[in-house]
Amino acid sequence: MSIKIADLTKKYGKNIVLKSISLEFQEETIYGLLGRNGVGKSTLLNIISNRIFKNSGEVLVDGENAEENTKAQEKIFLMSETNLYPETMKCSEIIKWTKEFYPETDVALAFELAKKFSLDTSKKISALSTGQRTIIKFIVAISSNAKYTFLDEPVLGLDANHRALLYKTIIEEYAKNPRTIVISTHLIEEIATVIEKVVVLHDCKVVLAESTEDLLNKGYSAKGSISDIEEFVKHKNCLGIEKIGGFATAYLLDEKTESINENIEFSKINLQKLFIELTGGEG
Amino acid sequence: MNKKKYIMPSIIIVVSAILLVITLVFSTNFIFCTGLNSFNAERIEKSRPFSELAYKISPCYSNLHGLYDTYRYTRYYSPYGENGISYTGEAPEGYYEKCAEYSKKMYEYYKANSEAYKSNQNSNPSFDVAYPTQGIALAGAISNYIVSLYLDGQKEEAQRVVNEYVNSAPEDESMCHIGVSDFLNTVHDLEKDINYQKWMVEIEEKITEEYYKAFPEKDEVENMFTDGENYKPFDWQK
Amino acid sequence: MKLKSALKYRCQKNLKLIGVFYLALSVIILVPFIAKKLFSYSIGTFEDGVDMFYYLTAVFSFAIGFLSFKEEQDFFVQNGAIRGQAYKSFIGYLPVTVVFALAERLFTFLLCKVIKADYSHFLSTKAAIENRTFIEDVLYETLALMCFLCLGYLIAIIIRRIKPIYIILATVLISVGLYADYLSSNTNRMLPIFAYVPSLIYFGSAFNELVPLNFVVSHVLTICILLSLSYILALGMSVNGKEKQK
Repeated sequence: MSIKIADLTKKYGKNIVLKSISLEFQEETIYGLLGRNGVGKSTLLNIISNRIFKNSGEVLVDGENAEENTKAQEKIFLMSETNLYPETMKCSEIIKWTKEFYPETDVALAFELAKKFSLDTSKKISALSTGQRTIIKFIVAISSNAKYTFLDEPVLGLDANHRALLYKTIIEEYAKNPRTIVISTHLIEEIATVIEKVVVLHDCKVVLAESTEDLLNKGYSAKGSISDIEEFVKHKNCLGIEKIGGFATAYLLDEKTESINENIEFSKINLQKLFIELTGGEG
Repeated sequence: MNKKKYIMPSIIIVVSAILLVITLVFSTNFIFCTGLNSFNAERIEKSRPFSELAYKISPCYSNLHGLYDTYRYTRYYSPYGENGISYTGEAPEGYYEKCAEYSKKMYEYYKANSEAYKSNQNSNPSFDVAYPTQGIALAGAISNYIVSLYLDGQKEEAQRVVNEYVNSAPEDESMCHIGVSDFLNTVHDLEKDINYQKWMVEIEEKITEEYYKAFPEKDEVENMFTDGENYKPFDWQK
Repeated sequence: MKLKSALKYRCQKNLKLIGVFYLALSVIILVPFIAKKLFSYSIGTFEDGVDMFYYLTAVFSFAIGFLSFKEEQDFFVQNGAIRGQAYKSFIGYLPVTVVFALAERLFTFLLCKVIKADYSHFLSTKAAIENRTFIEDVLYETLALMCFLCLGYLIAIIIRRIKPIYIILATVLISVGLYADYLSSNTNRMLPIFAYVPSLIYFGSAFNELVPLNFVVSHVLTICILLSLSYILALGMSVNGKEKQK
């Protein structure tokens, strides 16, 4: 049971956003969907959630085609950046209607979370700030108990306290009620401790789909003289090399091998650095 | 996206559009717009089969009204010659018979619904064309009926209906006046039978008398149709 | 399950709107009469204009259809209802317009009572002459309101689907066509189609008189056409609107 994406392509006019993407979101796993601005993360989530249509390829949710399929869409909840709730609707009504459409919604949990996040549920959407809108959308998403919950930019407009509370809530609810949660965000370091698997989109393709642990184990940096480093990185998966003066630092994603050269220094790199190097470096 | 999903709606659109056109255009008298321009006798003549078809399919007030409109003797085959809205010449076979038939139906309809025509609130500005007020419709229908009977050769029947109508004391005397005046005007120069002419004068005097009673201030009203005792039929041959 | 929820949402929202609409109308209409009673001055009468509320209801029905599309489509998609379900819920909602028709009849009746107009024909002027029953009248009005609702819905979809430049072009062409029709009606050279099409579709006859069979058939067929067009246009449309299905 999973969401399988096979050979998915999406174009906007002549602009190709996703090209022959193949991917799988397994059940009961927290994924981090990472990528630079405009790479197609939201597009991918929107296609799976039947909000926009693909050009070619296949999206299967537990074996069922996702497009215009009630059975498939009943299992999916997407919390998106765009607000699709009526502006005049109150937060309490949103929770109530989510319960109508997703019968497994935990209404008590939703109101409890609203209290924790200091959100007044009698307010209308139009009266909420950006952060508060994100909060209400997050609350209904996590309370919906949908089998596949997608959170697109769930920390948009949130202060540090609320962000911490959000991550804590995700982990707690996941522990209580395991499901597939896909989080698309730019705050990589914050999310690194929450996600189990990482999917990185770059240049219309999936460049990485691995568990966070494996990734952090395989990623490391090697620092030394330029010549030493250039020798070392031969035949290895080198993501990038930084040269300053006569020294170079290489970022690698490979099984670590012991180097004969004692002048090379090795150190671990974090997820954010890994992501930056994977997706074309700074700039 | 599954293209098959579009096939059924497309079929529905095409079939519905065709049926809509058939229903609205070919089962009504719209095709030649009866009533659009009552001065176009040719167009009205062409609309008759459609009016009859519409009435056959749905014998309601509107279709009867449309049909009745196409069989108004004064408009299409005036015995007095061509004017702005009529032909000269021979009416088609059975034309006056149909005029009489549909006028009678209209008259009976208006009589049965006469309550509706008494109230002022029937005068809706949007519907003035179709919903005439104060019994004008009834007077028009009886007038058309009586004259059609006469022109169809049923003079005795016309006489009987006029007598019945006048003696039934219609409540609105001015309408009675209008209802019979057309008949008197039409028959005035066509009738050669002296007894019939005598009867016409009697009728005219009677309705004028009733009219004076209803409207005593209108002392200018005279025997407008037959000149009373000085009545002489107009000689067309001169 | 989601279809039922979608239908429930539409009914709750729109029936609330209808209630607010008549409440507002009552206040607007009744205030002058209450003022008249309090301050004893004469004002115009409504006797001849009572039927105008039908036209207001028709326009409001169009507005409900027009405004409901975007908001409801987005809301349903957010809650996992597929476009087909959103569309079916709209079809399922159509019979509820009978409530709208009944409300309009009741409102007119109450208004006549308040302003002491002759309400013996509150059903409609047409009914008084043609001896239609109350139920027939409500049926005809329901069908007409359904048409307006579907028309508003379709136009909302079209506006969302089509580029603004084409909408402007269509408006200009229709205006030119109407003007040409107006000119032709004065010279009698052309058949003034637009003078008769509304009457044909609305009454089922070229005159402003109701032909029951034609009326029912024409309205049902019009609803079929509008709904089918809506289906074709809406089903291929993404949530952000402008993108077309490739």
